Amino acid sequence: MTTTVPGGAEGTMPAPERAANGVDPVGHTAGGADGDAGRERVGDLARGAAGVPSRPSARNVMVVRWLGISAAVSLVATVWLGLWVTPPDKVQGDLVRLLYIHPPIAWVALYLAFGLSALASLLYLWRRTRSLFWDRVAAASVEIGVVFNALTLVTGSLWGRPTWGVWWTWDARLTSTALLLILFLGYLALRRVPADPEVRAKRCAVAALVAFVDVPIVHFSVVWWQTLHQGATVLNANLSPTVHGSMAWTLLLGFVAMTLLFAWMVAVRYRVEVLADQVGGEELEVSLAERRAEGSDPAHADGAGTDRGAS
Amino acid sequence: MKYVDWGYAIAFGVLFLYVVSLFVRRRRLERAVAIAEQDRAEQDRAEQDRAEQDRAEQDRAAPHGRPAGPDDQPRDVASQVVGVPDGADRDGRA
Repeated sequence: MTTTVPGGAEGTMPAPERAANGVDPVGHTAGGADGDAGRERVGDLARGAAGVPSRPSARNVMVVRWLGISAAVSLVATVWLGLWVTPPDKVQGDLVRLLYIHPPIAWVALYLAFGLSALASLLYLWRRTRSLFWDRVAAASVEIGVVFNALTLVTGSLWGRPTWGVWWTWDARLTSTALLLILFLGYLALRRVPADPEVRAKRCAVAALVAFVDVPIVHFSVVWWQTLHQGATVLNANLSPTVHGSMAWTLLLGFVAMTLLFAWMVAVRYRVEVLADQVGGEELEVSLAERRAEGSDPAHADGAGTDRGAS
Repeated sequence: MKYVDWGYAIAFGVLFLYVVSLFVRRRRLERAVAIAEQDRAEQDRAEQDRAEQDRAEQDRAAPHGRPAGPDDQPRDVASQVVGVPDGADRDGRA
């Protein structure tokens, strides 16, 4: 199988070189999808599923490590400031401390994670930038977004119980956020449906874009409808934050900490996605090799060996 | 403070568990990739050995050291194509 494919070492080859060798960054050959070319293409998908160097460079490892360290430090500082340094609110009392983590968590889920997944999906669907890299970025981002989205609902509920007197209400902001969680859980379920990597990537990219339509609805829900949920504190219509002093700085640090944490998580999760594709590709390749071996074995040669010459 | 404590505990607890799960998944997959690479190397070696064995068998089956018979003599292919008997020149002269 490997002998018929141009640019056999594309797993370690930069994308432009792979494209020049008739194999684009996704791992497709320039050939058609039938006959020998089709067979080559399957092989490419198996091997090109990695599509990136099997090991990250030392520089990337260092960047990710520093991202992790800075995220951890800023998170510790946020917790310390939020729980022990900042004063209680005049109206909310100590409950205001929950707001140093709830909006930053929501920021990561709605805008960073789902925003990045929508952008990556768009870049995958656009022919000129189509690469499994974007599909993996979207997958990594959505999974993290789902975790943060669930935490948004939980921390919001913990704040709402003593403030509103209920754990949950069918408020526009809450309902649209819950719907967002369900939509992106659907995306993760769709990724588990067995399919050709290319087909799966295309399906998921469309699903991510459809699900992302709910994000502006969540954002503007407090403007469009009469809701129990308060309006924007920082990014309001007048762009004048209604939080000041140490409370404002702690909230800002919370946003920075969660953003750094998200960036670090995406890097780690992306690596997991690459490895999963590699393992999947290896498994596919092994099963194809076994099939071929069966075909070349005279005991199994009847009929099965007729297309042997093509591979 | 009860709700605040729970909020922080749940949020950071879940995030911590998710990060641990990421590391566990990465470690397992790295092992799986290493094993697959090892299997592939072994498979390649086995294929190479098989190819060498096949070549050795072919060499053994080939007619080494046998006295050359009439079939082993080189023939004038061009003369065969135009129907000229062996031993005659291209114009058919014996």
